[in-house]
Amino acid sequence: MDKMQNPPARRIPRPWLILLALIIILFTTPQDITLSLMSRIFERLPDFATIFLGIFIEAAPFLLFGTLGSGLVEIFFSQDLLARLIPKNNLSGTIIGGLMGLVFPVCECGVVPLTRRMFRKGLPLGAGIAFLLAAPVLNPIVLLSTASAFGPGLMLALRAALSLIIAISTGLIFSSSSPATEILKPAPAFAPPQLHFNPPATPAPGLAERWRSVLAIALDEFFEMGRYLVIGALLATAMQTFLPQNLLVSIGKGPILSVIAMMLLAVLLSICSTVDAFVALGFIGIFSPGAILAFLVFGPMVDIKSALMYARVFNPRALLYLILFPFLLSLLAGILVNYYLPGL
Amino acid sequence: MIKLTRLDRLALPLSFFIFLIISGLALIGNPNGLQPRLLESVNGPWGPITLEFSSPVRAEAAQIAISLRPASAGVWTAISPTKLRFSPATPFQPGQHYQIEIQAGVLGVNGEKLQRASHLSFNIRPPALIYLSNAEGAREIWRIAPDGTDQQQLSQTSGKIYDFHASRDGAKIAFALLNEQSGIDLWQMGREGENPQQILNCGADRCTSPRWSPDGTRLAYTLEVSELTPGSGYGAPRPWVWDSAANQTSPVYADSQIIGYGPSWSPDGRRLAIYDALNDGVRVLEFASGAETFLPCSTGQFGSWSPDGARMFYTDRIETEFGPRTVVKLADFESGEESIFLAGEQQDAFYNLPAWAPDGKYIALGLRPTADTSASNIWIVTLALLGGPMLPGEPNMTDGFYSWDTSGTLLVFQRTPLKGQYQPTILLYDISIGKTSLLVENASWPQWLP
Repeated sequence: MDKMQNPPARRIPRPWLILLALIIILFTTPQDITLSLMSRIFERLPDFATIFLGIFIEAAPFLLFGTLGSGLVEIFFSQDLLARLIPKNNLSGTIIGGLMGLVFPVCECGVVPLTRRMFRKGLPLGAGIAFLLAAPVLNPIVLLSTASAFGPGLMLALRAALSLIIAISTGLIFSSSSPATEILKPAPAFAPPQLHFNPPATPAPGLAERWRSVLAIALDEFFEMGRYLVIGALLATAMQTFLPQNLLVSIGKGPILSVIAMMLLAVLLSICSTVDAFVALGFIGIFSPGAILAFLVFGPMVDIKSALMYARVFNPRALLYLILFPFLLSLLAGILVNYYLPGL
Repeated sequence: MIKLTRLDRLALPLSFFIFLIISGLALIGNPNGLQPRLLESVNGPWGPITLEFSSPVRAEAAQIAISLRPASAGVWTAISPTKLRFSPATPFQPGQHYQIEIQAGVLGVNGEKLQRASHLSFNIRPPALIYLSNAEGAREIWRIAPDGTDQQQLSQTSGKIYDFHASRDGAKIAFALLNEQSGIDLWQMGREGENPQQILNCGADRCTSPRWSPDGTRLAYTLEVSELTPGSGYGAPRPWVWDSAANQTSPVYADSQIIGYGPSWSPDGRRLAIYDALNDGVRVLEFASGAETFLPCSTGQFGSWSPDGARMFYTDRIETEFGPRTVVKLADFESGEESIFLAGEQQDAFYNLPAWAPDGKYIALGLRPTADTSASNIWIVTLALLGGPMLPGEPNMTDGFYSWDTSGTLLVFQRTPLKGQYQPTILLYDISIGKTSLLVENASWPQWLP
């Protein structure tokens, strides 16, 4: 006898649940508190808009660069070519991955779609993660802006070297443990319209058609990753607008707490790595040198908007380690600098 | 139950290991602690002494923890998060060895500790003198030690030096230099004559009488703007101040109707005096409040500051029952009182501006005893007694340009012949042995280089 099957329960979409929760909170909170909160929020709205636009406008071109790079990799880089460029050996492959940042002018927004595309093209996991974490610092624009802010000295050298070391270490940990399939989320398939890259009976597409495909992929990815950039920028803006940053400055004393405070500030501010050196310059004398360095190393690896974009590429547990390792290693480096290079 | 992946099995122990190292570092603390060092081990009598720490320090806590031996009064100020500067209230003794003691304890802004008491020492260099060589066509700045050794030409300007002044810390010398547009520019160089650089290009205008503020950050000078027609002269003198930090220059008075020359800083840097020839008097401006004091004075000499900057001697001509007399007046800026300090009763005596000894107990004063001579001799006056020795002069010679060294034992002055060729000499009077000695011939405008 056939068992009676219950019809599947209809689930309420998550956005509606959040909205419902907000309405409940709004109507159950005492009116004076709600009004005071609302008036504070409305007072800060102009600041909110300015900060959001600042973050978004600063990051969007780099995301566009990254997605264009992703399109170029998809259309012009074959798996064979990538396999020839990246050594098979795990260690050398990861080191090469870290150093690839030197030739790709992408910051932390643009590097995510580019890395995801290269993973699809067969880039080894370790190399990809090393590239993902190192490229936002090792790219020539960031190195130049750091040199311009701090001079071509120890701060620049340490920023570059530590970023590379942390990126390679994290890459090695990932590549030595699990296959990429356990780490990466399946990427959405972008099928460029009318692109028949390798059909058996049709001729190879012309250059114009290839470029159209590059742009189509870039556009698709820009809007896909752009959503996370917008949400990340909104979150970072909310943090900056409604959380007192002076609190971080006031608790950020001491060779350890100052480093933690600056790393949290880096996450909170979500500044593009191309300009963060000039922001860090303003903290000299307020925070310890190790804290400034940690801000410059950790900030480009992990901030609110990049973490949201990582979440699109990596499984939750991998995402956790991707944040945890750079955090711990940057913290350790910052403390050691405070102890042994206080005059940096 | 959470299933551990291969990544977990590698990443978790590693994360825990790094966390342990960080915790260990936090527990052990900074093995080096706060490291202090002196930027200069040899300083001038007025310092300043600059102490640099390896990390930012709390200035107020540091002031309590730091002491000097021998004890010296003065103020520690934070000039940057890691640097503290001591400015002595009275000059250090040249040749003396000083020690800075910093107690162990928490000093750093970020909680860094000075692990153990720190002892840093510095010496005070003996003073030197700078002067203008008077040889034909070679007006250059030279330096010499008080014992006549270490004579050295500092400037290389093809004889175009017009005026000069050494900063109180003895680190730099400002000088006015004739330029090719018949104007006078302002320059500065180091105490060894090194690194000469132009401060102000004054074009056809004349920038003269450079005077460093006591902290060496500002330079007051007199600006005379050239008339539109070349060679037709210069406008009225006006005091200006150049700010070295901002590299900007601005007039002392926004009101262009106020004119004056010869800027003179009070030793505490709070006030600036100029002589206002339009209204015949000394104008004293207090920078912080903008308050101004006007001291009527018809001799054309601006004032001479007491070491604490609170009082000023100045000279004036007044009418008495015996006729006109030159008098030395004393203005007290704290009480607002003015009084006559010296005046000739039986006959008129002409006084030049007094030079106050660093301890404030005695002065050197140029005195022309009678109207029938132009020769002025130097009188050392103990203020409490209103008397003291007169330095022996020479016939047909006048003594001037006198100033004390920071110890108050040596008085340098210039002796100038009243007749014949202009060939002044520089002499040194040692108050401890009461003896005058010749230092340099054919030289003028002696100044101490601390």
